[in-house]
Amino acid sequence: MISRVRALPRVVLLALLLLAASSAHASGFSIGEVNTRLVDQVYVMDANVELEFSKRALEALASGVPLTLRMDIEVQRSRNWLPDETIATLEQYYQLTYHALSNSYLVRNLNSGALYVYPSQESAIEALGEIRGFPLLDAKLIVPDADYKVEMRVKLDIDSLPSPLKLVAYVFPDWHLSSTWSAWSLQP
Amino acid sequence: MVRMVIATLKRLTSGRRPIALLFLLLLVSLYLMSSATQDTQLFGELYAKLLIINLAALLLLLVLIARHLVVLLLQFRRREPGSRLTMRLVVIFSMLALAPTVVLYYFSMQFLHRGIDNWFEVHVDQVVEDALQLGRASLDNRVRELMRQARAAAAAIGSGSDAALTQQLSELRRASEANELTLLTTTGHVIASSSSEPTDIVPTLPSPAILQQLHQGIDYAAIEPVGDRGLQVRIVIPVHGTPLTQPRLLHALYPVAERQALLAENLQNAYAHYQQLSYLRRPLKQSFTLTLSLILLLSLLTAVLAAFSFARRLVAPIRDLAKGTAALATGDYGTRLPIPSRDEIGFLVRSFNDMAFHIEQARHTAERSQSLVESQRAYLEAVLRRLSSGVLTLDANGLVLTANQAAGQILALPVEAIAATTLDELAQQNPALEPLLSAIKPHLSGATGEWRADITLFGASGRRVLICRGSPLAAPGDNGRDGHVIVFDDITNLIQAQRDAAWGEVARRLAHEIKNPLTPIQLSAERLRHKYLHTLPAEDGEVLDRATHTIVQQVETMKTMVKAFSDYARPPRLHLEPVELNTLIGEVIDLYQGSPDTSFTLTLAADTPLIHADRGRLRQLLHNLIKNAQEAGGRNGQVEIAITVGCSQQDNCQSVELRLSDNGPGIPEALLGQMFEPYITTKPKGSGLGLAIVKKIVEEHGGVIWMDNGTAGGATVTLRLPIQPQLLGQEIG
Repeated sequence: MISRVRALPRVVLLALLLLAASSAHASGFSIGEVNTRLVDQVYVMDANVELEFSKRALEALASGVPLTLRMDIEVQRSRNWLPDETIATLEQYYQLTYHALSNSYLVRNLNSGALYVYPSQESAIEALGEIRGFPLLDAKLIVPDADYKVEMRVKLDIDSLPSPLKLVAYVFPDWHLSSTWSAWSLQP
Repeated sequence: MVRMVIATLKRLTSGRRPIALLFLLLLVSLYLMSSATQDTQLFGELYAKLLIINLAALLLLLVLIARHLVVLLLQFRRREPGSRLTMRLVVIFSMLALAPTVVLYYFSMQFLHRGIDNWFEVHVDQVVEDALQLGRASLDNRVRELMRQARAAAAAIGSGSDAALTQQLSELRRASEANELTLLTTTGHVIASSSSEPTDIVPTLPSPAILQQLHQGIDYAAIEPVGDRGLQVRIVIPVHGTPLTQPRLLHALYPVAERQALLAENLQNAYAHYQQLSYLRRPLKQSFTLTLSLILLLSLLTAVLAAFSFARRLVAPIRDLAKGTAALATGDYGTRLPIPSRDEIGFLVRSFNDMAFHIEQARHTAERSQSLVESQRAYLEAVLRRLSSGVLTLDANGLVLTANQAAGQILALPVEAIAATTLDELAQQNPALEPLLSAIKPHLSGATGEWRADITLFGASGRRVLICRGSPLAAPGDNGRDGHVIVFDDITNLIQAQRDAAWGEVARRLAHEIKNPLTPIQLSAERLRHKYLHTLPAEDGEVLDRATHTIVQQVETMKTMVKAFSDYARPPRLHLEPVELNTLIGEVIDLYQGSPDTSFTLTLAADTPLIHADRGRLRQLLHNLIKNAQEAGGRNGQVEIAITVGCSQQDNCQSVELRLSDNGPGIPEALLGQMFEPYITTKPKGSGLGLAIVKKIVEEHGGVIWMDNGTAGGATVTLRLPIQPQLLGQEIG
C-alpha cells in the first residue's frame, strides 16, 4: 500500500514528461536562418521561421477560428559589467484566417493592416514563416564599435483566441506553441 | 522570523474569519471566471490569472485539509478525548456537503452538455453549408464571365514599349469593368499598370503562390478580399505575345456588384461565425466543465475545511468536559473549564464548574473535620499513654475498642493482643485474667452505673491486686448500645509497701524497746545465780541454777530474735560486685552436703550472665530459702530441693531467674500472697522472718519474687534479679 502511494507521484511525473515530449515532437515553432542587412539607413531582417502547428490548432483554423501569431523582437546593446541595454522592442501580430467563401487563407499583418491571400493552408503558413525585409531600426540609433544583438521569439497568442477556447488552450499543451528566444548579432 | 511567519500563518489559517474571507474571495474569483467563460471581454484577460489563483486556492485548501486530517488522525490514534467525536462530525458534515453538491454537479453537467449540443442542430449545419455553396455558385458565374473579358484583354495586349503598354492597359481597363489591370513578368515584376483609383500608385500584386500556380499552367480566377476594398475578383492569366518577347502575365481585379458583394460578405461572416461556434462547442463545454468542477472542488474543500473548523469548535467544550471529568475522577478537584457560549453546552460547562466547586468544598470540609478528629484522637491517645492507670473501652458486647499501654503493662499483654478482642476471648487465652474479666462482665449491661472493685490476680509474676473502676459510656459505635470504660491500677506494690513500712516500724521499735532491758535482765539473772548458788541448799540451788539458766537462755534467744528484727529493719548497705550466681549457688549447696535428709537437683544454665549484686546478701538469701524448704519438710522426712537458674526469656535476658522448688506440702491458697510478710508461716519451727528477709534482699536488688504451688506438689519460689540493678534512693557500698 505504502509503496503504491509513494509510486504515484513518479507515475504522474512520467506521464507528464511523456505528454510534453509527444506534444513537443508533434508541433512547435523554431527560428531558422536569420540575416540582417542595411537598406537605406534602416536595418532590415530576413528570417525563416519553421511553423509546425498542432493538429488541434489547424482544426480550429479550418473551423474559422482566427489564429494570431505574436513575434517579439528586441535589439540590445551588449555592455561590459552591466546588463545589456535594450534599444528597441518590437511586437508584431499576424492573423491567419480561413476564408470559406473563396476557400482561401488570409494572412493579415495586424500592425500594418496589410492583407495577403493564399489559396491553400500550406502556402499561407509557409508565407507566414518567410519574413523578408522586416525593418528593425534606424541606423542612426546604432553607435559604431558597439556590439548589438537581436533576439526574437514567435509564439501563438492564446490571449487572442475566442474566450471558450482560451481556457482549453491554457490547459492543453497542444496550444502552447512557441519558439525559444533566439539571438544573433546585428550586422549591416 | 520563521516562528513569526508560522505564528501569523497559524493565526490566519485558524479561526472563523479567515475561512469566511477566503471563501468570499474564492466566490468572487469564481464569478469572474465564469463571466470570462461567457465571452465577456473585460474578464477575458483575467482568465489565466483567475485560473491560477483558483488552482492555488485549491492547493492551499488541500494542504490545510491534509494538515487538519493528519492532526486529527494523530489525536485519534493517541485516543485523545474528543477526537472520535470530531472525526464523526467531520465525516457527517462532509457527507452532508458532498451529497447534494455532487447531485447538483451531475445534473448541471447534464443540462450544460445537452443545452449546448441542442444549439447546433444538424439541419442548421446543412443550411449554412448549402448557403455557402449557393454563394460560391452564383459568384462562380460572375468569375467565368469576367474570365472571358480578361482573356479578351490579354489577347488585345501587344508588345509595345512600357509607356505604350500603360496607355493600352488604361484603354482596356476603361473598356472593361476592371478596377485594375497590371502586366507582370512571370516572376511578379510589374511591367505596366492601370488603376481606376488614382491614389493607388502601387498596384496590388498576386501572391507568390498564385504565380507558382500559373507556372504550372493553371489560370487563376477567384473571388477574394483585397485590402480594405472588400471582395474583388482576381484573375491572373498568361499573355501570349510574340515569340520574341518574354512570357507575361495579366493581373486583373474586377469589382463585385455592391449588393452581391455585401450579401457575399455577410454570408462569409455568418458562415465563419457559425463554423467557429460549432467548433468552439467542445472547448466551451470543456471550459464550463472545468469551471464547474473547480467551483465544485472549491466549494467541497471549503465545506470540508469548515467542517473541520466547526467540528473542532463544537467538540472543544465537550473535549474540555471530558478532560475535566477525567481530572475530577483522578482527584483534581480544582478543575475549572472556560465557558464557551451561552447555549446548552455552556450551561453544561457551567454546571460542571459548579459541581467541581461543590465537590472541592465538600472535600475541604471533610478533610478539615477528619484532621480535627485525628488531632483529637492523637491528643486523647497521648493523654492515655501518659496515664499510669490502665484504660479499656468496651462496647456492650464486651469487645475491646481501645486499650492504652498501661493496660497492656498491667495485664502483661501486648496492646495489640487486647484491642479488638472480646472479653471472652481474652479470658480463654489468658486464664490468669479470669477474675478481672468476670468482675467486669456483670457491669457491661450498664445497669449498675459507676462501680468499683478490688481484684486479685495470680499470674506468672505472682499475686497482684488491682483496683478497678468502671463507668458506662455514651455509645462509641453506631449500634446505639452503650459502651463501657474501665480504669484499673496495680496496687500490689502499694499495699506491699504499706505493709513493709509498717513491719519495719514494728521491728525498729521492738529492737529499741526490747533489746535495752534484755542485758540488765541477763546480768541480773547471772548475778543472782553467782551470789546465791553457793549459799542455798543443794535442792534449792539446783532450782535456782535451772531458773537462772532458763532466763539467760531465753534472753539469749530474745537477743537473737531482736537482732533478726533489727537486721530486717536496718537500712541495707549493699556491696555490689559482679557475681556468678551458679558458682555462688554451688558454694552454698556445699555447706549442706553433709545433711543426710536433704538432696539437691541443680539445673544451672551455662550462659547465665553475671549479675551485679551483694554477694553476702545473696548468700543469706539462698540460706534462708534452703532453710525454709528444709523447715517445710519433705515427703517421708526426705527433702528434695530443685534449683533452676537461667536468664529470663520474658524480658530478653535483662534479668536472671532463679527457681527453687521443694517437695513439701505446699502453701495454702489463702496464704499464698502473704508468705513474704513477717510472721506468716506454715511451719512449726522458724522465726517467721526468713522469707520476709529474702523478699527484702530481692527488692534491695531491684528484683521481684513470688511464690506458688507447683503442679506436682510442693512450693516454688521464683525470683528475678536484674543484671544491672537500678537502685533508686539507696546507697551502693
